[in-house]
Amino acid sequence: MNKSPDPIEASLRNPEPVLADDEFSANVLARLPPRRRHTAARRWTVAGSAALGSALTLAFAAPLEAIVNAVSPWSIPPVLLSTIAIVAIVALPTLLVFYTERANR
Amino acid sequence: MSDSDTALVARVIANDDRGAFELLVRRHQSAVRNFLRRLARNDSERANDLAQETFIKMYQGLHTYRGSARFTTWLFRIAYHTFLNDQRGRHANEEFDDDAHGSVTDTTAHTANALDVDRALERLPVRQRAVFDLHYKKGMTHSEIAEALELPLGTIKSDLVRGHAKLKEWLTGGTHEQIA
Repeated sequence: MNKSPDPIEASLRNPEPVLADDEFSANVLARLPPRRRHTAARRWTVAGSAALGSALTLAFAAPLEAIVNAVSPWSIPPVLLSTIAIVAIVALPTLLVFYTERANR
Repeated sequence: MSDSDTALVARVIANDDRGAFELLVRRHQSAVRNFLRRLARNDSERANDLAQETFIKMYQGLHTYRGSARFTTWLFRIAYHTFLNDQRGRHANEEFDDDAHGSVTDTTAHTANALDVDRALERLPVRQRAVFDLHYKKGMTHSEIAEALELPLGTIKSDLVRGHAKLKEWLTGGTHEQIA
């Protein structure tokens, strides 16, 4: 004679209903933070900014030196001036990218 | 052939692929919402809110998923902790409220239909409800449940035995005791 199955066990093993997605997934997606920019794009931004900054510094080194020497009581060597300009021009987009990435995490 | 969960996770991590993320949500939303409904004693609105929060946390924490556990184990861990955090905020009373939920002992003794069992499950403490849902509805093994809920294996086994005894008592014993 077969032993009758435990009705509680049988009820517990009933499959749960499948809930329709409706707008659920769309609502979750709408709440996600803004899409991250691709790493490659960020690298190109930094490299491009550095190249552009260097080119602009070279092109405007002579007039810039003349302006700085005209307004400054100290004589600043052109090499130092160019270095400061390049560092500033490269550092700004790098810092911008760094903080954007941190905000996206 | 559909992508595995792990493959979809890799796409989200590598390229922030929102399409892959949406597939993950669509694939698991029903199970997660049902799980949270069980924990929230059939409060669908609360369960849906918590399920949304679960998937947002999943997105934010995907880079921490190492693939050593099944994806669903990891996902239900997030869902469970999301519920517990919400519960702490609400200072909810875990005691069963007869007025709100009715009495399961009104049913004929020695019978247990699905509705009776569902109501009786609501009387179990939250951890046991989670263990029962993951075991019986999601088909997870004891070890997987232990990993998902971050509890010792012995606790899971004893929750199942004790919970089962309580259900049997409530549904067939005819006595109505408050949960200790």
